[in-house]
Amino acid sequence: MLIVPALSLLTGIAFREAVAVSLVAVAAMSVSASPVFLRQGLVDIPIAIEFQFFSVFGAAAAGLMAPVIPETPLYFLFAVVLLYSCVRMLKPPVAADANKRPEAPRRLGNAAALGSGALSGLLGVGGGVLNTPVLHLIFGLPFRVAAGTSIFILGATAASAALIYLFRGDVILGAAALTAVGAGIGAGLMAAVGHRTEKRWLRTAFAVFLTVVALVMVRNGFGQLLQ
Amino acid sequence: MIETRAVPFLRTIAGLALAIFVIGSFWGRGVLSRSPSDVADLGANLRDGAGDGFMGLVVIAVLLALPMAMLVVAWEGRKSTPRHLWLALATSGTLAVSVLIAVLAG
Repeated sequence: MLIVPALSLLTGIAFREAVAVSLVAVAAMSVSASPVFLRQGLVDIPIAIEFQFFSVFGAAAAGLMAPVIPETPLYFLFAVVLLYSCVRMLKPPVAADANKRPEAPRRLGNAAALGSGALSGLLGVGGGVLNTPVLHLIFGLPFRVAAGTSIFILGATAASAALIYLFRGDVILGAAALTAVGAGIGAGLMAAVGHRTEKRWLRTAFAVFLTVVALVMVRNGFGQLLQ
Repeated sequence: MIETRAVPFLRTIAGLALAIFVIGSFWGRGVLSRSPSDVADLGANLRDGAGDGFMGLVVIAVLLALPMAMLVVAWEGRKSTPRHLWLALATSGTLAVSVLIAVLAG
């Protein structure tokens, strides 16, 4: 979530290159955290495989379309996603009844997977901010299983878009490898101890920080629009 | 505890990627060997790392790990849910075709 703004705002790397680097980091996070969730049984494999088929399709399509999409609307779209994730972060998760699992409306779930993949491929975000609520609310997975399944899915989703960026020459290899290693180590640690750090003040502080980043992205979007 | 071969597979890939990154960095060709003078030069310094073979290997390993892990879990469950193996193969096919289009389109 923060890699794209950090790279594009602090280092001056172009937005599309920052997205490409972020996608590699997202894949690394998934590689590092998925084994923990898989071993704990927090990945619903049948749903993951089905969801992933559509999200990979969306991400690949977005990756192929990226060169013809102008950067300015992407800044605004990114700000919207950041603000949405702030709202999600401040709202406590709804506890789902593990024994009562609703039959997912397949078309709605598949459309959500496609959209989440496309957003991931365009903006370089993990998609967890969208996947987890979709898996929880539409597919009826308990929140922790939805989060674990989302982590597993987003690795391949991000990888599909990142491979397109890579073969088009948009990935700065040094930055991608460095970010991937850092993100991978962080995600592995968080997957192991994350459930012990459910502090409300931490979520609030992070939400405030994301809001500031969203505002900076909006300012950059307007800056490009006025040029 | 759930046992799937995807777990050791992913851990091996993560370990290998880390090892390649460390070797690449100490080899004197990685980004860690370049000390950016200040934050403003960071982008330019990171850009210098482009084309580095070791870093390319790290990126490729990380990007191929999850699609392959998905194939591993789909293969393990092929008897109970053969449809999922086909879906996983179709996902890999979509990915391969997309990459091919990207390469051909330049």
